[in-house]
Parts: sequence; structure tokens; C-alpha cells
Amino acid sequence: MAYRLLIVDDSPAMRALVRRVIGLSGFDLAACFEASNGQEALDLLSREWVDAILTDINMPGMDGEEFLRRLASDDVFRSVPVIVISTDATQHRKERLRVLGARGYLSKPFLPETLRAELEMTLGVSG
Amino acid sequence: MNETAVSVSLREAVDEVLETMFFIESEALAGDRPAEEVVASSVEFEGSPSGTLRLRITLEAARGMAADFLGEEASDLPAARTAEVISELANMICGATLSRVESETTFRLSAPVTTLETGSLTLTAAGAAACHLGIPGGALSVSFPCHGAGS
Repeated sequence: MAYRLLIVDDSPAMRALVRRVIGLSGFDLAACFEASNGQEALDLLSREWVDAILTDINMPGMDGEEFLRRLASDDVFRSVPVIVISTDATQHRKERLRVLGARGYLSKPFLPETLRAELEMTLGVSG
Repeated sequence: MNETAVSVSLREAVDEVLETMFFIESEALAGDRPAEEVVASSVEFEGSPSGTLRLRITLEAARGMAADFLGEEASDLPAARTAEVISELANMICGATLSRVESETTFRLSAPVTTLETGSLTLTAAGAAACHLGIPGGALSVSFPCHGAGS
């Protein structure tokens, strides 16, 4: 099965890196969309279905926490698994984001294989 | 947390980011360097502690790291793309340092501000931990305030 992903990050460099790492890892990718904050992501989700979302937290405009709240309050979007990619590796931040609905959490910096493993685990893909 | 502990955390964070995301190793840099073109980036953070992380990297090293990070040729890379990658480098080092010195509260990082400057690479400031490192193609200097860290 090929997957459709959405990368949400205000850093164009990080969006490019995540897209490249996923592509190079051999992950079966049908489409990869990008947004620079939560509002752009919601706008895109109104037009495109995705299988999983990878999102940053600290973003101008709608940040990652508000984005998670908005997804959780939507009957359709709440079923889309979300992996948070953040520089904040503190335990209380991770717990807070899980309460808000994040299914996975990846701390920056991360190894390429860790990103793929987190993605496969969140999507229930067997290696 | 005292200045020594912050210095150790900063160096660990820098090495972790360089090795994990850029696949490069660093070595301690002795002595000052003449004025040169550098990419300078700063990230403000709020929490406990609050302050500003500052980073300077020589231009050629910055170009090389940015090209490798993005999978592009250094000679084809616009200055803005190099600045985006160095912004992300500063952002990751700041977050990795804070995750080591801060464990009780959530912190928030501002968007990094990154510019091209000519001047000294070496960052020093009273009450700040700093590390000066040799990296492939040039050098890197990072400073992080100790005031209030972990208190």
C-alpha cells in the first residue's frame, strides 16, 4: 500500500529533509503534501485526504498544539494519525501532546531510520 | 545548574545535532580566527530559563552543511536556502540544550533570525557557556546563557 503524508513545519529546510529522508528510506509514498502551519494544514486537509500527518509544534500562526486540538474536534480528521516532530524532548511535553491526540513523537535531532520506524509503527505497517 | 553543567549540556547538544542530522564530527578549536564571512543565527527561548542562543558558522562550512542536509549541490544553493538550514541547526541545538538543562516546564522557541555578516567567529559573553569547534570546511561557535538555567 502506498501512503499519502502531510508534513507541517514552518522550516522549509526541515520539510525538505523529512520528505527526502522518507523518500530515501524506501517508504511506499503515493503523495507528500506540505504546509507551514496548522491553518495551512487544515486548509489542505479540506481538499486532500492523507493517511498520516507529521507536524512541528513551534510554528507562527496556528501552532502544533492548536492544530492537534482542531483535528481532535473534527469528526473526520480525528482518525488521521499524527506524529509530532519537535525540538522539545522533555517528558511532560510528550505527555501533553499525547493527551491532545498525538499518536507518535519524534525528538529532533533524529536518525533517518527512527523516522521511518515511527511512521511504520504509527501506520501499523509491518517491516 | 552551574556554568560548567550548562557548558557540558551545550557541547553534548551540539555534537548530537551535528552527528545525527549532518553526519559530521567536530573538534575543539583553539585560538581566535581573523574576521571572516560568517552566517549568524539567534534563537530566543521562553521558559525557565529564558534567553537567547547565538550561533556563528563560517560561510563555506555553512554552505557545505546546507547542501548535504538538503541533498543538493553546494554550488547551486541560493544563500536563502543556506540560511534556512542554519536556522534549523540553531533551532535544534537550542532545543537539544534546553531539553538537557530544563526538565520541569515547557519551553517555547522563537523563529530563528539568520544573517550573513563579516566579523569574528568566536562568540563570548559574560554569564554564557560557549563552545568553539572545528568542523569540515570551517568552524562553528555557539553560546548559551547560564543565567537562571535549570533554576
